[in-house]
Amino acid sequence: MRRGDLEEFIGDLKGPVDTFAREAAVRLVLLINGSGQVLAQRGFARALDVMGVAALGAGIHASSRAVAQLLGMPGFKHLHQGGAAGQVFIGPFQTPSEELILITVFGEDSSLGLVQVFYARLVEEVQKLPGWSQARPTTDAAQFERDLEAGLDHFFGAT
Amino acid sequence: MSAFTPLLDSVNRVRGVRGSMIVAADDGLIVEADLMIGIAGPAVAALVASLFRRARRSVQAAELGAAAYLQVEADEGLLFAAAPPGLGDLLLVVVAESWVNVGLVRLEAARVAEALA
Amino acid sequence: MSATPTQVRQWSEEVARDPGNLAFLPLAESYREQGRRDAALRLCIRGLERNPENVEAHHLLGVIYAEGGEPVKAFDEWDIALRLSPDHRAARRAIGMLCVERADWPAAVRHLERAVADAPDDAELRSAFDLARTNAAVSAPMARPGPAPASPGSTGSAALAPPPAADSTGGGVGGVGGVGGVGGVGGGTAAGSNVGGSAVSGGSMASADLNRTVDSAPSAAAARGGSTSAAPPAGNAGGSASTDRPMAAGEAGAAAGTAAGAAGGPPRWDSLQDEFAALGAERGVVGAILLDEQGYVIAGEMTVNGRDRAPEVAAVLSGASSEAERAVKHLGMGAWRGILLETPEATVRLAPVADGGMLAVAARREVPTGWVLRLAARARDAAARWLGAGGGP
Repeated sequence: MRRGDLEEFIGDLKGPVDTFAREAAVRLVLLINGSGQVLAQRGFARALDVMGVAALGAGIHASSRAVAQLLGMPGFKHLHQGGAAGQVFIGPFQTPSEELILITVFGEDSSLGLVQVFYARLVEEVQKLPGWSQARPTTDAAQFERDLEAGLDHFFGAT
Repeated sequence: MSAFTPLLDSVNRVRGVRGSMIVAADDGLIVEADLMIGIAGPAVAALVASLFRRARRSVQAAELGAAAYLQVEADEGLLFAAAPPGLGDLLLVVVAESWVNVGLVRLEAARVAEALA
Repeated sequence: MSATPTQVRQWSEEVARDPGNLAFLPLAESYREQGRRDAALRLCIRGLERNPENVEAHHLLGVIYAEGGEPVKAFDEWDIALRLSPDHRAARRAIGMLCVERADWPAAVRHLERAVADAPDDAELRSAFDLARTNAAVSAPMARPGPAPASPGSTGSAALAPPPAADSTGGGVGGVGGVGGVGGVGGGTAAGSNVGGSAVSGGSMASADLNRTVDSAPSAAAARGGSTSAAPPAGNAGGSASTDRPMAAGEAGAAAGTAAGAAGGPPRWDSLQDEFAALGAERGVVGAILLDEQGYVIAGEMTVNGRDRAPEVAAVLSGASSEAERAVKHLGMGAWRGILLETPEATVRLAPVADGGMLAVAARREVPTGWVLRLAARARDAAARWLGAGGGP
């Protein structure tokens, strides 16, 4: 479901996401909700990249959940794609308000173990934030588009 | 019980040792652990492995050889990581009290290395 | 007798007006008596920067160090006091008692003999002298040169004992353990006793090795100091150099740093570089470097295969300090105190310094681990002195 009150709470996510990025020594971080709305980012230089990764991340998460259901499991705890130069970690987590997805890219300065440790801490912190510690109102499709644009403007400035 | 279990047992018998683990150096994940309650195993594994990787890079940069042993001393505890050749990319990680007999821990770590070789 | 509040206030005002004012001495003593060790220590060090030849200040600093469980530093200060004033009874007594604690019997006999002559009614001194003389007679034939065995359990850099240099009477003094019954200091320190106890079995053996090992350091320090230091040796440095004994690396640097302080400005980089260069010049040592938190080399070199690798090492290590801090913080282990790293070829010691920086000392594996830890402790002390005296950014 789409959130209509993000403007009010979105700034609260910056601290936990920045801490995660620093402590886990990752290159890129993107926090989106299940609808693909961008809630926080760190390390991206262009709005276009954020939109692309957000869309793909949400898609990968949805696909993997479908695979899990086919296998009779509720879902995967997280997804990890190893690589020589960089690795990708996609971690979905539930808050009382909505499901969020953390997408992060890391290199040799970090490791899957480190990302997992600090991802767990990020989840704990976000679940305590006012905007995500209880159920929040949702919005319609038109409003969602506006929120999406507004969210990107929030991170990269209006063009 | 794996091949590592008796090795971890022998390390844990040293007074002051709070637990030991076999950890993958590259991804910082636990392969096997025998820890006292309350020790955040995954966090220890990830953080110590990360430190070990950095230490390994630094001695390589200085052309001082391959890192084989790392010891981190803190106000309230000690962390050890040994990379026995027989373990490949795995590390033996030990968590101990600050007052532990370091010599004994090193001795046990050396025995583990010997056993694995 | 304790100082009155009025006196303390007056001394404070005088020192505040002029940091070189000799009122720092009674003020520091007063702080010490009140149990404000850190304040007394800072005051004494700052006072000595401007009065490097003040014998009483060196003695008091030694007392403060001894009470704080830092017998090596105490030894250094009392040693300086004795070099400046060989007749200083309290320093002679204290250093003699330290040698007893350290079980360095020949040195203890040498110091205590003179101390007893100065204070024949001091029963404790007499008793210590008798003990030293008896043990010296027993242990003399056992003394032999050779490396001291590394203590596998020695981990803390506080386990120290840098090799004290020979005193003005010519003989080596050996290492230092805890302090017991030092004049003006009160009781012995448990920590010191512990350190001494673990390192001393065969005190004269260790002593022989320490003196031999350090022989190369003063010459390196002196050579560099002579060629690179723009400031002429002054004060303490001059006094030390004029004696017929070599200075230990730490002393040379300390003296140089103090001399720079005496000149009025911040300590010179040369003094720090000399100390690190002297450490790096020790047998088997690959190098010693001090890094700032950005990963820049502040002082020292790390020469491998004929090339200084310090920049590469610094670049990789620059994050190690924050990484170690992160690790122990997240694991609820307080602050990190040091990292020991071993390869089949080398032993490397990393330790944090003020301002978020870090030092690294590397040595070949033939150098005992315990000795590497001690060198690192000396490097850390040198860095602390330099940073504490305004050498930071």
